[in-house]
Amino acid sequence: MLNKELPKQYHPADYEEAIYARWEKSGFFNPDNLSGQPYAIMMPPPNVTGVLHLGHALENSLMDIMARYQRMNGKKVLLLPGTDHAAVATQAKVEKILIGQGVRNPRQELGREKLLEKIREYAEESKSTILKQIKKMGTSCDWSRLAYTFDKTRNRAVNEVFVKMYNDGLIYRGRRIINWDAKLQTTISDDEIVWQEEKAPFYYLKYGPFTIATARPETKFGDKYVVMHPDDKRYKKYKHGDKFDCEWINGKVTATVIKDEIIDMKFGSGVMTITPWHDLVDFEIAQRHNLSAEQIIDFNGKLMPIAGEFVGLDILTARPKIVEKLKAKGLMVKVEKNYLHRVAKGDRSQAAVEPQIKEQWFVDVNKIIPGKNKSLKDLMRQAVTTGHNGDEKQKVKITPERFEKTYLHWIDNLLDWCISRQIWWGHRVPVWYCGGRDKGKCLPECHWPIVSAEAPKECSVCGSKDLFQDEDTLDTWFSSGLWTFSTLGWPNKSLLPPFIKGGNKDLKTYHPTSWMQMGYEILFFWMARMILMSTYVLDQIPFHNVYIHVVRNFPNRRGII
Amino acid sequence: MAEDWILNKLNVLIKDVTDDFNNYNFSSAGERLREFTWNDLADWYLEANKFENSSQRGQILYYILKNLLILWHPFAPFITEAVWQEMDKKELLMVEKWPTPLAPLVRGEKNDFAVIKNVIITIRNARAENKVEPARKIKAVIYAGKHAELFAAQTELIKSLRTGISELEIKVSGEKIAGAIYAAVGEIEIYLLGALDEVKEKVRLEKGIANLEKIIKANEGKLANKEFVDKAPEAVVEKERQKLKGWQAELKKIKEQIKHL
Ligand SMILES: [Zn+2]
Repeated sequence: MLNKELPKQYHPADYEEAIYARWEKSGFFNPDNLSGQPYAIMMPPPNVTGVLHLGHALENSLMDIMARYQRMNGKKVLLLPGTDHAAVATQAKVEKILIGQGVRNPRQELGREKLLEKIREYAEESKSTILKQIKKMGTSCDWSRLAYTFDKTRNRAVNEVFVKMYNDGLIYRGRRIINWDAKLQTTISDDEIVWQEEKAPFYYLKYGPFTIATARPETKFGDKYVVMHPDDKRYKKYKHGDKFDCEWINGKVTATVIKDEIIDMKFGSGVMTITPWHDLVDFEIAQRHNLSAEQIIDFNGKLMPIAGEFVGLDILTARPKIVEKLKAKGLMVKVEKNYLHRVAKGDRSQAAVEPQIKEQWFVDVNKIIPGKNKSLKDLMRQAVTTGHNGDEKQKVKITPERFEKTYLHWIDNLLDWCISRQIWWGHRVPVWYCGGRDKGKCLPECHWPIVSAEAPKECSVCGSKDLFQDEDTLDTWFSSGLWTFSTLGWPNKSLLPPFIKGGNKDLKTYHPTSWMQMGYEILFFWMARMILMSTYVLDQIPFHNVYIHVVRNFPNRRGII
Repeated sequence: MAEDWILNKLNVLIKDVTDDFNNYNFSSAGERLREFTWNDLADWYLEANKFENSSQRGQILYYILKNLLILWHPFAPFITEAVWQEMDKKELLMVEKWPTPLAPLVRGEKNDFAVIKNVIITIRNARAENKVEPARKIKAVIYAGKHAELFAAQTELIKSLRTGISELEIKVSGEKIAGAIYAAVGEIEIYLLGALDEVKEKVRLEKGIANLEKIIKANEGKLANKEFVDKAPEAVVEKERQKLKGWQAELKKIKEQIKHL
């Protein structure tokens, strides 16, 4: 019976620290001390880019509500806490701070190791703040299983998965068109782009007997293929492969006629020239017809020597000057002043994104996985439709249901996943090359990449110890994609207590996890990658249920995980 | 009676909140808990149970509090655990067993209190609408139909729950009563007697008439102004005409009402 007067007002400071301590001490945050059906929630690891904000507080509450509800319902609840190193987000943040402190070019001035040290310091500090905040909110998570996407266990998992994919032929090195963020000096994924509508002039230019139209005359220096639809009657007399000479921006060029069905006959004159190095559609046309590509804009956003007198200018400065020259040469047919077009901007940098061709590491989502008779795309689709391998019990249920459609639609349009990044803060691509300088001679086979979960001691071909590692790091979603099982110790089997034979005890008990919640904006970034990784690596779905919430735009919310 | 009502409400609450959790309708669960705690429990049961003779009162309050703390715990873990500990519980609330609804209650008509509650709310609203000062005590007659027996037994409760009724007469049915505030809840008819202060009401209505006449005059002037009618957009002029019509209708009603006083 309650026979005493409670204080009229509740002062959190009088109770909460002591209560949290009592909860922790009770051992009930750790499911090892609970019985019943396992129920696992892996906390979406917050980025170590600062402190938690309102969006995190909401997510934290949702998870803790669920964990406490399930625990009171007699489940063996694991709410596993962790943080994310957040690759490019963290590096960009620290570089910005350093620039503010007067370091003009952090990467050049500090070098790889020193800059990494600075980022590590910053990351550790925000990590400790974030963990304190999570405790302050009363979150009932198991601190004995605390994880970090960039710690040793998780690095091992990342390397193992990379090697497995490489050996299965799913990871390849390719010259592909990528999105280049000149400000951050790295590749960014399609999902990291925001499209903005802008009004800009649209120029109609004379190209030999044709009129072509472009919003970007500064990319056109090297254009030597003129493309039209094979059914376009207006251009019947031109045959595929015909060559002609014409006057162009910096003098005469020899142009070749290409016929391709991708051209929209109704758009403008129905003729265009292509710039394969800086445009995805043009790149694809060039690939189809085996055409050469030339770089016009360098990785700092400046024009290359092919631009002649305009070399070294950044594109926006160059554009009006080039327009003047085109007018002077009589190549300008007309200008449409307010043409509405979409411009790609980097989500984090807000800088213009330039398509570029670059050697990158890719995950092939369409290739059949050896022994599975399915591609990664098939696995991703199956997990939410029929269930993994047609098993109803291995099916991810998405709440609200409407997001299932969104997800499947995204899968249909998915291209190969570019996983390499030209930044330093992240899991370094576990690939080494033989330098062979100590042996004096390198065999042709030495040029094959050495892909290994652990740093190799020597080149297996020539025995050279002069090895160097790939400079690139992996997309942050490559490591967070493993989160549901890398947190459970995969692939490390030494976690096993001696009395259990085979298999990881935590992995067996808690995977697939029960429930995952996340904001709508990381549905593709994260949910899709977790499904991909888990079904491919473990032959299991990552979670049975996923709850998607749509939160109003909190500042920096994109950086939530 | 109120005990049955609140226990049944709690029963329903446990069921609904559990369903909400299982369907991830967290905000709905929170809303139900808030509704029960502030409206059903604090505003009604805690008020009503003071006027009930019950030996189980303490036990029931304890039972409600205990279950409510469990249900609130996922949402407000710290404060619920703090109160739990003040209840001298040895175990942690965090691992207390989640409740399941009791078997459906069948004692008496479990909606009796709900009927009374509705009548009380109606009386309060009628007073507010008729601008009866809160302190003013009035007489009420209720034609309660089949509920007459129930109401007769609960006159003290009705009088006590901020209805401002000093004298309450319950009948099965009866003649219409003139000069009273009238309200109805289903088949139950309520008359609030002496609530109409005729003198005050007359002054209030006369003031209203004077005010309306002033506005109407100004508006008529505006519409008689040729410059305004010709130059202003048609929509604006039409709007003014509609306004005038509305005021004229209101004036007519008040004038009729004042005759009935
Ligand atoms: Zn070698």
